[in-house]
Amino acid sequence: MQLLSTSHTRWEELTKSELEDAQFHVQENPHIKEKKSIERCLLTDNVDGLRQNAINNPSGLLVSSLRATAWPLLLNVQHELSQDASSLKPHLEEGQVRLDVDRSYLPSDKHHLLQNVIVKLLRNHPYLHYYQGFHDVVSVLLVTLDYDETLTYDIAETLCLHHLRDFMLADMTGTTDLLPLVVDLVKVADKRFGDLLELIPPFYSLASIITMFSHDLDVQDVVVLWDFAFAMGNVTQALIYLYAVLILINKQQIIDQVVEMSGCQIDTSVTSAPTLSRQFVLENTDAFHFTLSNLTKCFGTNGSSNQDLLTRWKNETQYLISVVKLSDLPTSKDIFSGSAIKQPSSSNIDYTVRLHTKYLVARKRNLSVVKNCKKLLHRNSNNLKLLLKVSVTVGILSLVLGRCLEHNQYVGLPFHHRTWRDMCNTIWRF
Amino acid sequence: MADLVTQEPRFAQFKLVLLGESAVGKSSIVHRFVTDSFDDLRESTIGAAFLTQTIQLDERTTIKFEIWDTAGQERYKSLAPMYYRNANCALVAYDITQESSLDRAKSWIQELQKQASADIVVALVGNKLDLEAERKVSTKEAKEYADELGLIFKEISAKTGEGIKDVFHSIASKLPVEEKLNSATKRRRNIDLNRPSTNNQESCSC
Repeated sequence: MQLLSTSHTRWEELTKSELEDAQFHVQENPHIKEKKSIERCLLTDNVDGLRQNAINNPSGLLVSSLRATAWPLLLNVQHELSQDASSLKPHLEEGQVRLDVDRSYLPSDKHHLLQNVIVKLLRNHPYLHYYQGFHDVVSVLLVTLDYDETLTYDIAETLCLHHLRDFMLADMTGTTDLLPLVVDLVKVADKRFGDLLELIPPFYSLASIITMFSHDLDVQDVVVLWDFAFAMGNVTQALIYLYAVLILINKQQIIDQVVEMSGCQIDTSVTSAPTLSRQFVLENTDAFHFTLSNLTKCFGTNGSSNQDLLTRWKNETQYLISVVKLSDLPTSKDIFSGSAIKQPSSSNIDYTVRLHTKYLVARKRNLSVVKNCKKLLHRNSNNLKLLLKVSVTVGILSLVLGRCLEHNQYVGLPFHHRTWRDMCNTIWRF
Repeated sequence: MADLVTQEPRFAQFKLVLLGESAVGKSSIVHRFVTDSFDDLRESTIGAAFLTQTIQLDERTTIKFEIWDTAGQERYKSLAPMYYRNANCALVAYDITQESSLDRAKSWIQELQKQASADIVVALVGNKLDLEAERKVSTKEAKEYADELGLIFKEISAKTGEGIKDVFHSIASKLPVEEKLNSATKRRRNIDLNRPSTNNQESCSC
């Protein structure tokens, strides 16, 4: 609303020649109206207006030059005083950085910039850990910001401290704890499909999420998603919700591909999640894992343009974020309180590390408490267990028999007419 | 009659996992095997990548490899069990120009022996044979280690393609093809027995 009123006054203020100029460009370039709107927001520091543009424009913030000014505003980047890398102690993971930088897709004369930014970040924040894939994130920043090393550093630093820090803790638990949220979200929108996906380890989304989709999408599509994620405020949350929506909008393609990979003879035009059995999913976890981790490859291959797909993807994600709160998701309680997804405004990495260590210790202790309890129970309850088993079995059997007899279709039928499967189905109906 | 049976074509698929230190050339090995190509700039693998390739082991036997190519960074180590669990074979790679990479390969092999299925076929391969001039790991040292543990051993070059086909063939010839065929037939039979006679035709449990 604020954006509309602002733009209204501004348009009125334009001179006749400016208007003509603008109208000319509207015909020439379909984005000129959006471009003007973004420029006005930048001139007036209208961050809300920028957010609206970044979220609602099919091409987000349109061009690199606008992003270079808009991204720091959206992310609230503060140019903090950081020390020159040469005056600081080397970080243990610089060797790995070198290996990845050497293999980067950036032009070889730009590799040193990628190396410099990452090394400076690690040396200034020694508690952060480098992960393979972070170099992809910094590469997109460098390309978009026209290889401006200082600006890239500032944005990368804010991203690390506020949004990607869960991925940069000492071990992977900060990352892997977040991934089940994707299935939680799928379940909210499509319970049956979500129940099936829950049978598969959630690591298929790992590469896309930790690289902020830069590992598998073209840069021009990646930056539109980043415009969206930065504008949403909680970048980690946006990434998780984006992935869940990607699964939801590609559900049928996922099923088709897995069925094809499994070699099953099924008519995929009538196959849907409810007809897939749990056994089928369990026997094809690799096919599911592969298909689910390559969803972005569907881009531009099914007839619609990338822009239409991106727009739909963003719109549905925005809707999902507005209707499903993070705290409503069951997995949310298993995520440590210092997670970027819970506290994107906190940038104190030392504090986060301490919180995470404490959380891991507590989790370990809980696990061992559960184990000890089980052991104790096991030791003291051998007799009790037998009694319990017998009584539970008798109970279940009497219930089943009772219901079977009630069931007309079985009364009077000779036993061989009832297959085991029918019997199981009857039991299942309880 | 017996001859006719043995002439029947056989097809079996196996899961293979590629492990090894970062930048030893795991993805290059698998790309050479699958697409017979080499790219000087092969980007780092994040998480893991999945590829398949079929080979003709002998006149009547076709083997399909389902390959999980894993990320080499130590950090991703905790994800590896997901890929080597249920794997029939593993290719553990090191770089003949990097001494540390053989140590890393050895620790992967130890982990496989402890955690993976007992009958997993393991191959230790030294990559970058094209960089003979920069060699740091002697053939003798690695071969002795592999022989001691009964592993397949080859030195290869993903860049030139040398030894790649050989190593996958060696792995294939050690795989229990007959067993796999039998278990697949058994499984199919079980499922046929359980299949309901009416409706539910769309559901698939094979």
